[in-house]
Amino acid sequence: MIRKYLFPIITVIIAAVVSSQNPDGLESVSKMFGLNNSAKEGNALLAGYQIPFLGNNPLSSALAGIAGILTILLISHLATHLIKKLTHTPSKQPAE
Amino acid sequence: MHIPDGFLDPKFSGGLLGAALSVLGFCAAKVMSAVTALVPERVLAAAGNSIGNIRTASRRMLTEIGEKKLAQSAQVAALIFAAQTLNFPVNSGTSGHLIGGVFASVLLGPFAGTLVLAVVLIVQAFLFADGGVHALGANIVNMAILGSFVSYYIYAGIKRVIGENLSILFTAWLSVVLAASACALEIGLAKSIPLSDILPNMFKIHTLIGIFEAFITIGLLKVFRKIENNS
Repeated sequence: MIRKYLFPIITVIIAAVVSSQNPDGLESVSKMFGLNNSAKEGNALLAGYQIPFLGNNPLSSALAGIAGILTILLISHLATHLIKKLTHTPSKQPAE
Repeated sequence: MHIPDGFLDPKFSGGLLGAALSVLGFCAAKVMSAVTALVPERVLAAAGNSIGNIRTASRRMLTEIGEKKLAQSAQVAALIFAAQTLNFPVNSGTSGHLIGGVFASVLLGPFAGTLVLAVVLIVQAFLFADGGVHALGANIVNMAILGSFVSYYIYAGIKRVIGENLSILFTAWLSVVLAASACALEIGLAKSIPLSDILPNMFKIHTLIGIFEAFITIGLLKVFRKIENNS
């Protein structure tokens, strides 16, 4: 299981260390025209890809990224479970 | 390219959310029928239920291949999410990151690919405040529907003419330009920035970011397929 998600986990760890802090294309253009002040800061749990009590540092970003991967994994499990429930698929197919 | 809240008119955002949900519903129905198969009830009964349950009717069940496809979709979603956290410098003071729409739809098909992108965008908006919750419909339209769904059909259309690698490179680049143009159009129509200002600027910077998208997409596809073959 972990092996299948190793590549994304390594990617978020690398991103936490080397990711560019420059604004992205849209942020850059909106800044150019003074629109960036209109952006409403969202108050999500891990806003800015940081763990709130760990502050703004690479470890915090890496852990926030891993939390994102785990959330996607959870959604996927829930979706698979829901499809099984809806279709009454048994968890294990009976042996022939 | 994630539009934050405050850039778009709320009514317009609502309309885009409605459009996004319609397409996602269609994709979900298509994926549901792809990962399940009709199984005659009497086969199920013979496999363990009491003889009294034998009927001639059929019902849908999740197939083994379908379950594998769902697991693969989760892997692709995790990889796209991770790749989107990696911002690379593009030119003076600007960075870019992968969208991954073409990567997802080439690997999983247009329906699952679009859903995967939508899940990534939903997680980013609700958990990380990356892209506004009210602008979620717009972001799904731009990056999932245009960046994955529409781009896939362009890829499929030109693949026969220019070959797989070139069509992936071209469509991955185009997916970024399409999504950026739609993003500029939405912000321009909301009159947050005049369309004549935002459209050329967004187009210019994203033609450059698109080049990175093209090469990252083809690289990721090769790595992902290699990992898949080895596991």
